[in-house]
Formats: sequence, structure tokens, C-alpha cells
Amino acid sequence: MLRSRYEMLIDRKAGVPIGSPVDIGRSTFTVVGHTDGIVSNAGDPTAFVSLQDAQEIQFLKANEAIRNERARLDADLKAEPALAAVPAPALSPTLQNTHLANAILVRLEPWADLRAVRDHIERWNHYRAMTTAEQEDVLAKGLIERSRMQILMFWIILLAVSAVIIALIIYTMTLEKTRDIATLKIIGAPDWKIGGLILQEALTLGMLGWVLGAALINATYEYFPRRVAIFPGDQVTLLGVMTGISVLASVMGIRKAMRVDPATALGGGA
Amino acid sequence: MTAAVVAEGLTKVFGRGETEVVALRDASIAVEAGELVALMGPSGSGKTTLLRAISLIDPPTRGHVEIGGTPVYDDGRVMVNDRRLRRERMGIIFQAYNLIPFLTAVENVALVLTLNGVPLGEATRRARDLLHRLELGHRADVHPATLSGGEQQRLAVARAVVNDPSVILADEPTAALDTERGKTGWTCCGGWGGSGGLP
Repeated sequence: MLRSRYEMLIDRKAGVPIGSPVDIGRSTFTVVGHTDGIVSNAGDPTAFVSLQDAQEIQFLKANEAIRNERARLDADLKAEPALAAVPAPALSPTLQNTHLANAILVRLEPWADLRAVRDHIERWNHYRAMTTAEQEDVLAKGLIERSRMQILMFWIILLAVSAVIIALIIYTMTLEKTRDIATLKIIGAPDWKIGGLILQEALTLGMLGWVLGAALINATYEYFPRRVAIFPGDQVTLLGVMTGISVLASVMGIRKAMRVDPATALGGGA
Repeated sequence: MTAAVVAEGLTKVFGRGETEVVALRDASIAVEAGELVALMGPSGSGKTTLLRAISLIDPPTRGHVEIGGTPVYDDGRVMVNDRRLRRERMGIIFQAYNLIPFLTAVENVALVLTLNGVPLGEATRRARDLLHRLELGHRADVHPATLSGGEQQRLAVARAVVNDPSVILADEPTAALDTERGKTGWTCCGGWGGSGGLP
């Protein structure tokens, strides 16, 4: 950014090319550069403007936004009998004080005593000092943790559906092999060997699904509208879960195979 | 010499009460080692039931069975692990051959050996050697569905004899073949039974 006003850096994921105009509030900004992988805690692409522009965006609202806010305030006042007679425009300056800062970043010198600085700040009314780690914790435990739980719920449902599908496929494959299973029993194959064959089928199916899924997600995750972070550990965990699901899904097929009567393999009369 | 198979007073009853059917009544048979015995009778006379009873695939309701001098069944009580008995001491040839369709010819034969603890490499070598002796060497790596009826029968024989069992039970093994091919099959089984090895 070379100028102090009306220029913007925006994350590549927003898909806005350099040189494009972007209207925010009452101003039009020009995109002069891209950042990579800088997103909000919700995973949305983030834009950077100068401090003066940022304050203007926050406090100098567009006409439409001001009209909406006044209408909302008016409705709120009318709903409160004690304030019903007060006109909204009269209260607006008080309620919409722009001489505010949301947060002040403080960088301590290496020799400074963090606890002492913190205690000092917190003695002032309404101030709270937080370390970087605490801020991350607040964000993680709030939005990110909830999002993770939400995705986890979807994940569990999808895995349950996958387990049912694999179980049905394995069961159908076992039904198709009833005669072969009966033959194996007649030539003396022990139950654990037959069960092992079915388990192998289920594991192969699960493994194929995992390989396909992993290849697909690794090839496409960068094109998701919000940033998706995939860690190697997640994929290993998923492999473990998939293995567990495959084992679970094979149970129905194995039970069916164990019940196959060896005599099924024999033809002929009585 | 100890008899290969002794079955005494075998009775098999299916169902109960009004639906009761006696499929086998007090049947006895003794087969010496190396002896080839053919059971002949009309459909429904109990041939397959007797085979199932002796092999413990479907044990009899009453009677006594010994294989190679070892009691394996006595009046409602199976005295051995039936699958182990069939795996280690019996070869069974099915009417419809029942070859495993997703295994190749050599794998079908080697399977019996691997079930008996023979390492895969050794099992495959022995299975391939046997298929050569049965003139199936050139078809060893194809799946059973691509084999002719006669070839499938020889493959079924190979699977039954590869582990050198003390008893081979064959349930109408030539039913699906024409007379000429059926004779070849019997020669194959008979040769093994009479001499302790394939002709």
C-alpha cells in the first residue's frame, strides 16, 4: 500500500483481482495487493485498509445504513413507554458515539513485567487486559470450537451413513457368496478364516473410500469458499475411524456367513 | 488293516411329528483303505444324506461313524471338530464341482493346502504340479468359469486329492458330464483310490 487512503489488501480467496474497485460504506477502495491464507476466525477472507479508512468504515456509515439504524432505534424507543416521547435523532449522537476504540494493542519490551502491566490496566474501569494466548483461547473456544462441533456432528452423521452403506454392500456381497462360503466350510475352512475374508472385503472397501476421499479433498479444498485447514493428523485419524467403521460394517456380513449351512453347497437329492 | 470308513446304524430324521421324514434308516457301510465304493440308487434313496452324515456336514440323528479308526460320531454326539476332520482327512467332490469362482484353478487347489498350514509358495508349487499331472497345467491360471465341464471336473478332483486325504467322498461327480468325460473322471478318482496316487 503506497497511499494512506482508499487502498486495500485483500486475501486471494476473496477472488477480487488487483486494481478492482470495492465499495465499502461511503468510500470506494482499490485493491492493490493480495494476502495468502489470512482469514477471519470464521474462515472468511480478510481485507486490510489504513487505520483512518478502517475508522471511517466503522463509524462513518453509508446513508442507507444510517437510515436503517435510525429506524431500528426509533422502533426500540417506541417499544419502551418511558422513552416513547423522545425522538430518535435526539438520542443518536449519544448512542452512536464514535470516539471509541474497540481494542488497543500493547507490545511490551522484553524486560517488562507482564503481570504488573496487566494489573495496572485492569485497575482502570471497564478495561481488561488479555495476552495473545488468551485472545486465541477466547476465539478458539467461541466461534472456532462451535464450528468444529457443528462440522463434527455432520461428520458423525456422514460416517454413520457410510457405515450403513458399507454394511449393506458387504452383506449383499456375502449373500452372493453363500454357496462359496458353504463350500469353504465343507472343505474345512475355519470360521475365523471365512470371517477374515469378509473383514478383508470391508477393509478394502473402506480403504478405497478413504483413498478416494483423501485424494478428492486434497485436490479441491483450496477451492472451498471458506478457508479449510487439513492437517496430516486429521487424515490419519480419519483412516483410523474408517478402519473402525469397516470393521463394524463387516459384522452383519460375518454373522450371515457364520450362519450359512455347509449343506447349501451340496446338490442332489436326499 | 484299519477300515477307512465305518458307519453303523446311521439314521437320519428330518422334521418332527407329522412332518417327520426318515431319510436314512439304520444304514451301515465299511470301506477299506484303497477301496472304491459306488453307491447307486434312485433319486431320494438317501445317497447324499449318507455322504453328508459320514462327512459330518449334516450329522445323523443316530448311529456311529469312524474315520481311519477314529470315532467321530456316536449317537447324537459329534466327537471331533468336523471342519478339521474334513480339512485334514477328507476330500470332497461335489456334483456341481463348487469351485471358488473368484480364485484361479491353481488357487482353488492351493487353498486346501494353505488351510492345512502349508505356506502359500509351497502350496502353489504343489498345486501346479498336480494340475500338470492331470493335464491342466496350461489352464492353471485361469478362472473356473472359463474351463470346460471335463476340465472343471478334473480341477475338482485335484482339489479333493491334493492334501492326500484318507477318504474321498464324491457326490455324483459325473452327473454334469457326458458318458465319455464321466469315464475319464472315474478313472482319475479310481486311480487315486486304488494306488494311493494319481494314475
